[in-house]
Amino acid sequence: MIKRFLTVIMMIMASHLFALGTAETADFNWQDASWEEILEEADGTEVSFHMWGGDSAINEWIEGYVAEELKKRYNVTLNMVPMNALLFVDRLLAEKEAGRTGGSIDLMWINGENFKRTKEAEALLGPFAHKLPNFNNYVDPETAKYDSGYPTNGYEVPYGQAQFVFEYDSAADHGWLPESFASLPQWVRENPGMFTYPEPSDFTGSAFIRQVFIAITGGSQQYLEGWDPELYEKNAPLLWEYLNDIAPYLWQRGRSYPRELSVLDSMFERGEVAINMNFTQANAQSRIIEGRYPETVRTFVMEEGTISNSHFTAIAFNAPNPAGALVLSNLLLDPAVQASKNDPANWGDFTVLDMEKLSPQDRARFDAIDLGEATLSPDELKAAAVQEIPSEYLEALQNDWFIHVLEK
Amino acid sequence: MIGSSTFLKNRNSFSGKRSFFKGELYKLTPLLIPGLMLAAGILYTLQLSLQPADLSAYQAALAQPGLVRNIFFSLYVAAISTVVSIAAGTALAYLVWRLPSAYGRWGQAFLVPLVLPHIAVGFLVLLWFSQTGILASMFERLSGVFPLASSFQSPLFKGNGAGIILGYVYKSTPFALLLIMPVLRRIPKNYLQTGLMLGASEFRCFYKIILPRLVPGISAAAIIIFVYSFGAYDLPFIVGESRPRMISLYLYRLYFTRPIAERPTAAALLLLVFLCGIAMVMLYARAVRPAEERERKL
Repeated sequence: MIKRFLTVIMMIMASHLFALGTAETADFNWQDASWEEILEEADGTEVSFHMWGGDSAINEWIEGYVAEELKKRYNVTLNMVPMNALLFVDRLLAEKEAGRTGGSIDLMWINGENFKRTKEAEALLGPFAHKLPNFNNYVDPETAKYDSGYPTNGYEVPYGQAQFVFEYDSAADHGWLPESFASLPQWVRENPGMFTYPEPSDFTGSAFIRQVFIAITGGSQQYLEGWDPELYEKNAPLLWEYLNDIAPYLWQRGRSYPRELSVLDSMFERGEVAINMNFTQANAQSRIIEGRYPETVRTFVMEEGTISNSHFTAIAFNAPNPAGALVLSNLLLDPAVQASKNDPANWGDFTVLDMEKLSPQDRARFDAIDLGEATLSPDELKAAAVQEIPSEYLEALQNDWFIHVLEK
Repeated sequence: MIGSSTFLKNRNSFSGKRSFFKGELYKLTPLLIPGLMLAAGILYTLQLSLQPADLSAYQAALAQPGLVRNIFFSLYVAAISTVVSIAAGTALAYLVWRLPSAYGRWGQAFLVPLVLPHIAVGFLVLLWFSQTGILASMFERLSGVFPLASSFQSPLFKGNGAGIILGYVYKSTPFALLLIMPVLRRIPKNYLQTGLMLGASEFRCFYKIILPRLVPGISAAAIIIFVYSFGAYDLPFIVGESRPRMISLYLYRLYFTRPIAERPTAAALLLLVFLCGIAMVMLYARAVRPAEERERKL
């Protein structure tokens, strides 16, 4: 019995040694190669794309349209690996710790906390953004500088963008629409019970209070340098004062907050509250198409702006096919591909390209997309976008809300 | 309960046999599993709460804002839910018992809510009592026919725990009925008839003859309902308010959504709440002991 057990262990170890010995090692020097040489290197290869696979519309778009374009244009085969980001990031970090050179991940869809973790563990290949023609030609580098307040330094490139928006029913009469965070308290007082936000343990509720925090303390710029506890201690009380002032006029006089966004969604659908919020620009339009919202629902943003953040692609430090990963990452920034992604009929995910850098023909692709009546125009959204702040602020605000607002 | 009754039976049949400890105690070893799980959980939590090497985690736990309010709120919700469910369950059991035995089976219909998960009960409470629920629309219809003073005011989310209590009462009343019914069935019906013949009112008969004999069923049901409604998470999540909030929601946030460095505080709080629950059960047991002793004498 024990003998058999040992044999199995030996076999496992041997197979691992074998794997280590024969794993493809990426000896291609992509840093010094020209883009043509990279294309040549990638020709005829297979590239793996590790990404969150929880949305069938997104999966279909990647496996269908993107895979076809990649094959047609560059003769590269796409292998989509749908997986929770936490899982493949953990695997990558384990590979890094074990010093495994031949990995299994080429390109990954990551952002925020996961990017920070992998970057700090030096588990990413880069910087590579400057190698991509589409990044250099079409992306405003300012918009790709930070990921949730953490500097990207060219180790990841954006490929999609989300922005916080408010929703209201234009057919319902509530006097006027609050167009700024400065005037929101007055609107709430005049319409008692018609406004609330999810508890900040919810993703969107957290974004809402962060939004107010940025707006009433003088913008997000001051927070981008990283976590500054003194700055936080100085500014956070302004937020608590703001939220406590409106609390008695919120839904249920602030004694109850919707536990999650889905609860606020159904309250808005039933007309119990007048304003809803979401982190997807075209959410209202999708809901109208689904039949959950009346056709008269519209989207708006506040004068002080609303948080906008991007999702990114990055390359594993031990990618077996770095050239293929670069080609795929570049393809995802192609104007035609970005326009296809932006179409609500495909995915509806907003573009990260700078419209002013596009040729008239490419710009026309975006103009032709029907985002629907309910969605704001890309220009209006862009004008209102403010940058995401570091995740330490997010966590502190989220927790302190329970102390200073709920349980005060 | 099943375990203890077979245990007693076996003990009686085993008088005189020496193999009792060897044979019978061995059969009880499955009880070790839940026991060990609980002991390990308590030890782990205790060790976690003492990780800072002093009592600072306990100080931090007691300094959590809103703690006292939330504990009292949870006790209040659990107490009201228990009292109402027990009263309703006892009354229903009595009424079913009084039915001619041909109809007795219909009493089973009251047990239906037992099979509903708490999530579904939460949904029912929302469906009936929310501001846009069935009651609200019924009120709206009726106000067209009768001049009702004002429109329907939903009792939910007002900060008084009404939604949670409604849910627990709906779910626990049949449970109380289930535990009280067998006790009631053991009481010979002619006790009641004798009392009535001697001229006592039915209420007096119930109070003097029936109720004292129901004490074992009532106290078992009451403890289970109380402890469950004090600590459960599902109904408070769906129909509970944010402030005050049930202790389960409060603990969940501290334990699972805070940085790992704050786990000792959450663990300390968890232990304190656990002790609080045990204290309540012991107080209760002491309070009902005289009544139980009286029942035994009957």
